[in-house]
Amino acid sequence: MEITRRDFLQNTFAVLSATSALSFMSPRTVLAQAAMDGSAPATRRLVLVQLQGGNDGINTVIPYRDPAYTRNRVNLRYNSNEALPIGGGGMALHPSMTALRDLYNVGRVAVIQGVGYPNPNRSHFESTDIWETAAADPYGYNARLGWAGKLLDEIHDLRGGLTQGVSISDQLPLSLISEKSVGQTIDDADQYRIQVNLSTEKANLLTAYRTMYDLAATEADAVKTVRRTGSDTFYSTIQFQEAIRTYQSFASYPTGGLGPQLQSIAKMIVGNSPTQVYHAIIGGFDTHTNQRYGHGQLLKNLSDSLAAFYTDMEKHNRHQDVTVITFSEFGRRTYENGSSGTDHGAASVMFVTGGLVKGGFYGNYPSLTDLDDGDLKFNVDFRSVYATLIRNWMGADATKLLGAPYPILDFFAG
Amino acid sequence: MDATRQQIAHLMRRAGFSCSAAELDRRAALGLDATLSELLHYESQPDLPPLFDPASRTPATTPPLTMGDIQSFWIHRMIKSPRQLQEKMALFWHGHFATAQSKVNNTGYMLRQYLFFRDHALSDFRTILQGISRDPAMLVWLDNIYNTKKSPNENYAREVMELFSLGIGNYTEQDIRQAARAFSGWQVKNGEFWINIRDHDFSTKTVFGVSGRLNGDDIVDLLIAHPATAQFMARKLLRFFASENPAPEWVNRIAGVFRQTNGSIRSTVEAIFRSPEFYAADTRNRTHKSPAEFAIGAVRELESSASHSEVRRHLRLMGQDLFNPPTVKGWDGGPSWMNTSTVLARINFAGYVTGVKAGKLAATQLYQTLLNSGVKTPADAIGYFEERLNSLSVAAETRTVLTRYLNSTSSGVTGPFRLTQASADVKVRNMVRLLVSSPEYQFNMECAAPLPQPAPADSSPEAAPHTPRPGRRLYG
Repeated sequence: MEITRRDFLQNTFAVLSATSALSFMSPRTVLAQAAMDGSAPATRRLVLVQLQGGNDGINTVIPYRDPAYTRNRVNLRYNSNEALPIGGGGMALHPSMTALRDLYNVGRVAVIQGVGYPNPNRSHFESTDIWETAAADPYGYNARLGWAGKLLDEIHDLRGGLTQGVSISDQLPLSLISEKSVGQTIDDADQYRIQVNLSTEKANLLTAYRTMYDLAATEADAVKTVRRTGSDTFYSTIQFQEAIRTYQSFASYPTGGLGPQLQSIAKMIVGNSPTQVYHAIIGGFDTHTNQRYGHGQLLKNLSDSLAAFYTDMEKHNRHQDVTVITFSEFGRRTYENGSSGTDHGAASVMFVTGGLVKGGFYGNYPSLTDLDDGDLKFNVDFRSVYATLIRNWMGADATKLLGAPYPILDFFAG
Repeated sequence: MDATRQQIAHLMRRAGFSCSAAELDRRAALGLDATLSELLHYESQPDLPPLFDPASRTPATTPPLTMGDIQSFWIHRMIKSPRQLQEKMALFWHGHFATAQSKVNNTGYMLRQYLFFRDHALSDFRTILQGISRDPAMLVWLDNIYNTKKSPNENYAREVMELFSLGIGNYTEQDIRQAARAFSGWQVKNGEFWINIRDHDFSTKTVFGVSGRLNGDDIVDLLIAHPATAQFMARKLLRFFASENPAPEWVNRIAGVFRQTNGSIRSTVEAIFRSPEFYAADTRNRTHKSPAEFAIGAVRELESSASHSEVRRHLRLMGQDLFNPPTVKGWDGGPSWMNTSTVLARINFAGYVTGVKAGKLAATQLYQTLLNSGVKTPADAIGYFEERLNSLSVAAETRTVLTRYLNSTSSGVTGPFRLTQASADVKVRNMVRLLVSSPEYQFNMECAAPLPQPAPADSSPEAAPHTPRPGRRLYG
């Protein structure tokens, strides 16, 4: 029998209603009940951090000694006094990324260089679809599902139990669209509850909400779907408030951008929420103009947020359960444009962080002179990164989910 | 509710932001044709005095306009303007030429762009495309202010083709590069559009196989002449006003009107509202309300004294922050409006909008209205508000839940339901909250078939079968 998410949530709600002081069940007991395929612990969590707009990889991981870099980036250049060298191979992080540099130096950051895909698409929307579906043709057969959504479906088949993705945003990303579960979006952790003005009316009103959204009626599919979303909303507010009730922060997160989002994810993970894949998103990377200041601010936010999240997980002793990846729809052109910005490009860089990540550089830094239509050539297909996460982190069949075999990278320890 | 009244109720939901029962009464007396004519020729209607005079608050004045100021400026008109289609069209254009304050960072420009959309709500598409190509907010938003002869910036050229006129697949990367040069030097100076001839590339360009010393207006003309534009705009207008999945024949027919009238938006939109498909049950019942349609609609239908600031705060939480669409693609709409976070915002907005105890929803007024309408049973109360929510019809199972809630005991009100000032204030008020939160209301499900004649009343406390609707006017 298929255990649906709703069954799970309803059971949870029944338990919570019966004994309201009960803390949320430990995932180590809940998920241990479910059968495993044996290759990966069910406590593992994956966090996708989306950098929307096309991040300039060249000024994120900087080939600061390359004369071609100096030539192409006249106003947008960082020299050896500014950039933060890592790894000793002539590469440096953007000057604002000190926190990530420190995390790199303790061996917990993998830098994947030259990531892209063949025939790069320079439309934000189409390229994002390509990354999120990981399908060769994002508008072809079966491309309406996200790659992480398919992963969740697969985990559901392997282990049963609750599988769902959660996005800390106001819109569910295509990455998390799945066949078997409705992903959740959570905007603001503390406000994520049904507000009732009159406290004496709360119990009756919440019961009415629950029964209204749970009922089965003869109605159009679209209405059914909204009814089900209402039900998901109802139970997830109860579950979420319970999960975050006990959380205590052990790190200082940035107050804007990715900071609060990653902290919300930390609350859920520490609160033992069964959600396995999380998504956070920050926009503003479409830096066509005056990139220097804005891009620096964004990278600082990214770096500080990733480092705070790692520290928080480590102090809660959950860092070995969590892997974070960053991705963006494309990189930028090698040469800057006339408005101190950069236009849409192709291959770029990804970061992978976590307590079981084997730090270092993966892939090769693309040549800044041997170009493909003016842009960097990729040498690591982004689906290789996904394949590694699917197989070596989540313990599922990467070839099956991605439709083809992609080389597995070596960025996990052990 | 007779068929005409139901058609008008549907038209007002789509061509505007729904309406109060009193307005529906007035329009039903006018008839469908006259209502349509009023909407389309909105100049015949009085204009609503604005919240403030935009001319007195130029970008240079202090204090500068806040996002709150300009969002409230628009929300005020959405709620109160007699020229409903004008505001609805402005929302369409805002989603179509999606420009966001998050990057423009100039509320004066953003307000001016909205005023442009409003002034040209139903103009011809060439005028609109020419105007938006000169609009300061747009020039900043898509970086055309940095597009120079020496280093062309392709952002506007790409999006004007991909998202504003042709749709993807109807142009080449080469077309984009060449078109970018045609728009070079189109900049903003002292808050106004100007062409900086030193930055403009006067040399020959070739776009869609046409060569010449093309400028931005020439590109607009080429886009207008391109066969893909009529199809693209017809589909987009149909998706906004009528159906999330318009039949190809319908799109073709509307595209034909767009072509024959040289891109007259008034004629194109009129053709949509005169299509038989527009009034089909599937069109009426299967379209997700956008947050603005949901929130402004509830305010207008209930005649709630909701504050502008609460409306705009909730719109943001529901995923439609006015003047701040997520990307240049605008809002995807349809099922993407509905996820756990935005549905929660709708649930909480329903709590807010029904909880404003003033005007028609003040405790005493609410009680008096129900009393005057002869509401005695849960079925009466539910039916009364279904009617007032512009001919909503919820599933029998939903009605059972509402009935059970009305009959419950709490907050000093003892069940089963009996109309008193206390039960009206607590139970009926929260029942309306549930109605506004219901899955049915997110679509405005209504009776697809002609409405049934009054059935025998069933006032048993547990079950509420299909409610006979009050056939009378709701007020007066």
